[in-house]
Amino acid sequence: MAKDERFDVVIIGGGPNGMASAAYLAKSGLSVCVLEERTESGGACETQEPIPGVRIYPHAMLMYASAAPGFEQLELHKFGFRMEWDPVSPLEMNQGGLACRDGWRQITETDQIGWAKIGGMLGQPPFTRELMRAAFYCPPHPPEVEVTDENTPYMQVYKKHQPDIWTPELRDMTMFDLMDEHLETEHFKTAMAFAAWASGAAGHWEGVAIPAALCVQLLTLPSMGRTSIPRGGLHGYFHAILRAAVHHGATLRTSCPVEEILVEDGRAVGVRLRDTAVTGGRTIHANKAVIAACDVHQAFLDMVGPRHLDPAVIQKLKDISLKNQTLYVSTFHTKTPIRFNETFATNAHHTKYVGPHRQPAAGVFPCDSRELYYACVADVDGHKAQPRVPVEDVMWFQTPSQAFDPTDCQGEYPRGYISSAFEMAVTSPDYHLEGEDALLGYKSDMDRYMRDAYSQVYDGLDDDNVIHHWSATGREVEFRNTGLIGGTWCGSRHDEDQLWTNRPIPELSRYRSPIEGLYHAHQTSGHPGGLCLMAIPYNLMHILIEDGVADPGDWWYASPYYMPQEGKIPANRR
Amino acid sequence: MSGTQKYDAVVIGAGPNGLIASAYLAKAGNKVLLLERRHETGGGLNTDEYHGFRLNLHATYHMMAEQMPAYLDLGLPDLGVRYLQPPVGAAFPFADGRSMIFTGDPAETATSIETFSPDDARCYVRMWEEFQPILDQYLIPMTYELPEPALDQMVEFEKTPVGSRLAAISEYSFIEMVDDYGFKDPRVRMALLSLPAMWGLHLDEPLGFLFPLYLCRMLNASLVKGGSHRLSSAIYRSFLQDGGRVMDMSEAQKIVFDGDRAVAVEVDGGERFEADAVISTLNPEQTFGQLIAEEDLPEDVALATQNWEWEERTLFGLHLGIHGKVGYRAEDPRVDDALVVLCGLETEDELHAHLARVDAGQETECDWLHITVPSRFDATMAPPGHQLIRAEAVVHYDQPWETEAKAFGDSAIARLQKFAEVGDIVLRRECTPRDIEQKLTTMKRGSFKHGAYSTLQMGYLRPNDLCSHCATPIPGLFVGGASVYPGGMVLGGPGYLAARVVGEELGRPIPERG
Ligand SMILES: Cc1cc2nc3c(=O)[nH]c(=O)nc-3n(C[C@H](O)[C@H](O)[C@H](O)COP(=O)(O)OP(=O)(O)OC[C@H]3O[C@@H](n4cnc5c(N)ncnc54)[C@H](O)[C@@H]3O)c2cc1C
Ligand SMILES: Cc1cc2nc3c(=O)[nH]c(=O)nc-3n(C[C@H](O)[C@H](O)[C@H](O)COP(=O)(O)OP(=O)(O)OC[C@H]3O[C@@H](n4cnc5c(N)ncnc54)[C@H](O)[C@@H]3O)c2cc1C
Repeated sequence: MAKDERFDVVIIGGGPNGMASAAYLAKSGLSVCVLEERTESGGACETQEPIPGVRIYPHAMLMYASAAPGFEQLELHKFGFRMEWDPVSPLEMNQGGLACRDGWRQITETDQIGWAKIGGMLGQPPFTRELMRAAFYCPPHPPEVEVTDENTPYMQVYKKHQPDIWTPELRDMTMFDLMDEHLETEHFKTAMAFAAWASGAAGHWEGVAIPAALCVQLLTLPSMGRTSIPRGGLHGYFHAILRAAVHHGATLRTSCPVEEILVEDGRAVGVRLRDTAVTGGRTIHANKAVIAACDVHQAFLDMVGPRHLDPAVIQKLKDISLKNQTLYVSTFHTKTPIRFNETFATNAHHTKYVGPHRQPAAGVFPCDSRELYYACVADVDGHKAQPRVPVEDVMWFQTPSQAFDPTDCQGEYPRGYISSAFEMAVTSPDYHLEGEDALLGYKSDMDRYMRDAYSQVYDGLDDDNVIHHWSATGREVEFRNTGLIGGTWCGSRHDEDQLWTNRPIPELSRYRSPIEGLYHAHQTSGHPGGLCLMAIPYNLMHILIEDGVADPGDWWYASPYYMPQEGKIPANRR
Repeated sequence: MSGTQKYDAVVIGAGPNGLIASAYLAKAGNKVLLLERRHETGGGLNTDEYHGFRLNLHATYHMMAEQMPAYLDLGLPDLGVRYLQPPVGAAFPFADGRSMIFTGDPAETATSIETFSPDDARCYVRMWEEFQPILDQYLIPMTYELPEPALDQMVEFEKTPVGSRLAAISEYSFIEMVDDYGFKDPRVRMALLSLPAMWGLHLDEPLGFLFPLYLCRMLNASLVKGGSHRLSSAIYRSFLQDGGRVMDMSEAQKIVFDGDRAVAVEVDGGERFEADAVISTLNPEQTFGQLIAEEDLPEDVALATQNWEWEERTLFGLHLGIHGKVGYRAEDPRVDDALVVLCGLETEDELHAHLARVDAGQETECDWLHITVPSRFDATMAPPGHQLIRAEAVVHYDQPWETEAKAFGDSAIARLQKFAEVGDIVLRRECTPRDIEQKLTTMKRGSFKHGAYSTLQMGYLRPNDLCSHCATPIPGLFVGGASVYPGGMVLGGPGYLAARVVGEELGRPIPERG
């Protein structure tokens, strides 16, 4: 290895966004180097084997990305990617009712039709994929273009396919407003609002009705409305992307933390590694671009630094709110299988058991009313400490991964039974009143609180029956993946002020930065934000084509809603 | 992907050997598919992270490290592999506070032995005067050459004085070896015999040539910075760069025949992958017993497979995350600098008694531990302010591990605390022999070498005289895992040799060693 190296593009961070960007660029024929701080790349896309023969997903688990153009464009199926889907669709599951404190409450036809309309499933043919692509897989419009009802991608889709969802107010609504208009039962609305909150955008935030609703819809396969998990979990998905990247010639260096982005005459020309890097503190030059695929604060405040940035921009960067919840994920190993308790067993519809081992799946609980939702949000966002909501009222969700992955070992484990994944939203460590380590100190209290909450629906989570309770606090998640600042799994807030052309701030909204040749591609920095969507890399490609950095082959297609920037090379020229 | 796909080679099992074989063949221009049953590649090269502690649950000490041809041939330093070699190879602290130190330098080691027995110190120096040329001229290079039948081998050895000496000691057992070199002190003898014994070898088995090898390997062993999995990740990337295809979560279930030729591999779910060469890195029972239908299996191979012997000795692992420090009580501070610290036994008799208890399944409390503190040499292995301990004990497979693991772990901790001051335990994980085989099905009965090391299963006879050259009597089928010459551990030998043989066969040979 030469002392100083040179690549066309240097990417900082080997999380899902950095790696998919590398795959796109390497496939475009550029020489690409991905630098990852940790000993392994992939971040939260991890599968653990806490006891041999038992696989669990301690962090990211659910596949939200199935509408991504990346599957075709990067040909992930050639790199070992396989996805199986749940034979039970979420809609069918809802038919068995939603878990409320008094048992399953049925949903109505109006609920179903309304939700299917929002999700594009009632179109002829269904336009779910188009909707998801419009909402997430299109770069924000250029600054000279005023964003209007007419040119907002998802507005265009509704106008064309489902005019009764389209109203001039749609862009300002909250998800609750939208649901009040099209759905009927309170429990269904509450459940969906909670699922949206847990997926990144809250049900009560103004101006994000559609992104929030579609966050939940993303969980379904666009062509069939079914939930999906890749074989081997998101680890399998990530590695397919990694293999595509390396196959096309990308260089991946792990244990290589970046210290500084080198700027010369206002242009990013490379990076310098920290002395602790496995290769030592060397310089790596970038001929064409540096892409920060690590968190936006670190990238701009530490790696670039005030010397090269305008003070006003610095202040705005500092103000980017990461305030959000994080997920506390639990998996249980029990002596006997967990079972629905009396309230839920008596009228449990058959669809409440999923997968080859017929695991019970509660979905969201308790969905009684939006007051419960508000109480949880207030506790997490407002109180900022240990949960205060009584265990009977706190909302959570559970989705057995066995339902999605036929290779999953749950239920089959010879030394007990495995039940995953129980998830509850909690205050992210950075915002904890008692400091970021507080969560660790409260871990056993938290675990107990979780078990008590889950015991509202299940029998078998008592101390006698539980052999292991695996959980990870936000602080522990952060250890795992330094990009997940604050343990906030979705990076920063997906509220109106930080979405689309405002994400993360208007100056950075199209993945460019005030420094020429420096781009960003992280969940905290770019539209559409969190989740392993392959959206940021796809969107970023448009910009890199505009700037003449990338010139992909015939496999490339741009978003139909993309608007080229004046004076640039249009990314949809083919 | 459905239907049939055609490859030059399909490799079964992505442990170190499967990865190495695949990466070499891909580099030589072959189209290669690597199939792995688990969700990640690496096999025994595994590093699991829990709360900032990086646990090497299987292989930790890398014995051939930079001498392994793959290290340079596959460009592993460029791919981020860094070996760290602690200043001391092995240390033996005793109950009275004294300790014996073994390093790669025989003179330095002799100085330490001298404090126990000046005579034995002289024996040690003399022994190394013989061992070093034996290692340099024969044993190390032979690790990466196909084996020869014992008789041919002996004839070859007899041609030089160094070789003649090797021929002579090859017939010795480990005990006879320390007798022959004149070692007398019970503690020195214990220490010398411990180095092969800690890997489950039988001290009365006439496998003398393994003695210099194990001494050399243990006293020059290295850790991979960041954990053993980084070695596998680097080989994985080398393979991908050269166009290799990996499918994880894909268990090979059947080797498909066309006439008497192996032509494809079928995985769970029914997908089939055709290949000119199928390379299995699984153990012989899996390759020949489970993957091949009885009617397709030649009789001589069937018989050899039936005779395959497992080991009774395996390992119990205890992994501890510590808040605070770990410091040995030994007077000599160099004990803290040792890659492996072996504690609990004082004399040779105690070692034999211990092994007899293990073999009889009577070792219910942990007497003997070999301990490594990886975080001492590599701060990235534990969070700041913390240390990571890995302690292993030689144990028998047939103990009620399901119920005994916790108690055995407790006794191991008690044993450890006699020899070292240990901060607060904040993470604890036991890895029993059952756990080993449950995770890596290749390691039946916890046999991390895929089968016993005995005279009938070593050298030209590993796994048997039909298959020790990687080719098998079945056209199109090759073997290249730990059950094949030169054997288990992370030596990169079987995978390398398999790639050489298969590369020739396919007409795209792997590069000559430079
Ligand atoms: C508990 C939990 C559950 C989740 N569940 C899901 C789910 O079910 N489905 C889903 O799709 N998503 C889920 N997510 C979210 C998903 O994991 C993230 O949105 C995603 O990882 C973001 O990807 P990224 O590439 O933008 O950033 P990151 O994953 O944060 O990657 C950034 C990378 O940059 C590296 N880095 C940081 N600093 C430096 C430096 N100085 N030099 C070099 N490298 C550096 C980091 O180590 C990291 O690998 C979950 C997350 C958590 C925590
Ligand atoms: C507790 C323990 C400690 C050890 N310590 C050390 C040490 O310190 N130093 C050292 O050098 N060695 C050590 N070893 C030994 C070393 O790990 C092994 O000898 C080595 O990994 C063998 O490599 P291999 O590639 O032949 O097989 P393996 O590593 O066993 O790999 C075989 C692979 O095949 C896969 N597989 C199994 N069945 C199938 C199938 N049907 N289809 C597809 N794939 C399949 C497995 O999942 C596995 O990944 C240790 C082992 C153990 C268990």
